[in-house]
Amino acid sequence: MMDCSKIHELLPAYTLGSLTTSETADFNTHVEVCSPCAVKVRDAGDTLVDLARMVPQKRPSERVKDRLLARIDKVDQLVTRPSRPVMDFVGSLGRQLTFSTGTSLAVAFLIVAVVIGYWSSRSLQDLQDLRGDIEQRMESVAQQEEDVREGLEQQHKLFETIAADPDVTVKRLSANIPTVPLPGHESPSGVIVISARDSTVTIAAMHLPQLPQNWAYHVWLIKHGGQEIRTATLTVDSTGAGHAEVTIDAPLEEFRAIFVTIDPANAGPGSVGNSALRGDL
Amino acid sequence: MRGNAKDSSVSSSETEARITLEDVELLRLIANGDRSALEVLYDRYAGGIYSLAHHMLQEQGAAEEVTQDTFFKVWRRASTYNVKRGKVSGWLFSIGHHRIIDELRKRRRQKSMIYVPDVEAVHRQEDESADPNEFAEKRMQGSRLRKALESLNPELKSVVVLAYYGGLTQSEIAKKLNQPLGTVKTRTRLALKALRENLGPQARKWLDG
Ligand SMILES: [Zn+2]
Repeated sequence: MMDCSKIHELLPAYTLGSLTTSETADFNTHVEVCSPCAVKVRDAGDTLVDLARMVPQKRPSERVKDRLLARIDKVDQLVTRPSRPVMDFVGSLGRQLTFSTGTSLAVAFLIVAVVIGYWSSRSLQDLQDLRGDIEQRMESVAQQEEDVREGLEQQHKLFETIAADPDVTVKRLSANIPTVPLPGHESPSGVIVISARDSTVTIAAMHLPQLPQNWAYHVWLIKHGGQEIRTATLTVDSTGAGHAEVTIDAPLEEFRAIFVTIDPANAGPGSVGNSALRGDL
Repeated sequence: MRGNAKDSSVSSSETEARITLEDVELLRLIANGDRSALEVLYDRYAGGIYSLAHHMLQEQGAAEEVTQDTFFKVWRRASTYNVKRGKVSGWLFSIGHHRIIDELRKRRRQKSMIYVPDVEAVHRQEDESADPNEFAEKRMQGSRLRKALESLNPELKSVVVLAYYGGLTQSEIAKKLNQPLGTVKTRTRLALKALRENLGPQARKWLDG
């Protein structure tokens, strides 16, 4: 489901008819139920009528109108408003049978006709919805695939760092006590790879829950004297894998621990949120 | 047969009575199954829809079919029209425009299916007949649209032409212009803004005068 900000983002492309079919369907679904967005769409759309009307003008042949009216008649007879021929047919049945049988037959006929009409228009709509759904899921699968590939690359880099640096130290990063994992979810954990040669600390964690928008995982370094320094943001992908790299400009011995906290993305560097992970250095 | 003659005479006087009605009132009648109201709305807008379809599809038969489909949709969907969503003309042209774009995209898919064995041929084919930018350019010689679009900066103009008259999606435009998708999105936004600011009043002046 698109939100208002997505609608705002897609509005120009929608107005020019440049969204994909499924994007257009999602866009319409939102606008049907959201008045503020509907107003924006209206204002943008009215300009475009001028664009439509500025092409060289031609008149369609009379047969187009005739065909349109014939088509409407045909559909009306079949589905929505059974007209005279249908009623005549039902009536002739009624004359042959008893009145009540004729009436119930007519009612049954109407119900069947209406149901068939409703069903065929519904099933077309359903098919379109289904297609939109599948396209969305394929997009999210593609995103996860991308994430897995990136995650593997990061692991590779981490292994290379560990293999290449004789002074490398690997520490455990484990869930902090107040963090209770959701049922069915493993509790988060990870490793800290400290390279004295490059003065870098790499954090790789897994099973991190997705955070709501505008919330972030922050990495903190804690000094022996208790001083807390916020360093990097831990990015978490769709598979729950988190990664951060911190360069330190003070000797490693000065640091006692690493914390990963959850707080609002725009929180000042002084505020410390709930601690999700900790590791002793 | 007698019934038919009677019907058509009733219908033509009904049609006369509806000629002065506003679009919104016509649509309300259409939603209730009033055929004469549809005929009046058709007479008002079929030329516009047909011209747009003819301009974009360059084929009389296809333009006729799209025009018929558009008004058939209006007949079926009249009850879903919501005044909040804008003028009837805007709603109607939007239905028509989307139907034309569906047709354009269908054709493009079919064409690429035919020419798939030879990749070069696909490009040639596109360059010769399916390049909406060039193609629209050719068709616009001396037209009011050409003048109006000329007031846009060329980068914005090509986005409008490819999107609105060519029916290309944002990523197709990016590919065609060899630009990042983000750039195309930005240009689309700027183009629409420019259209609203410049083209709208200018166009109205041309149309009225
Ligand atoms: Zn909204």
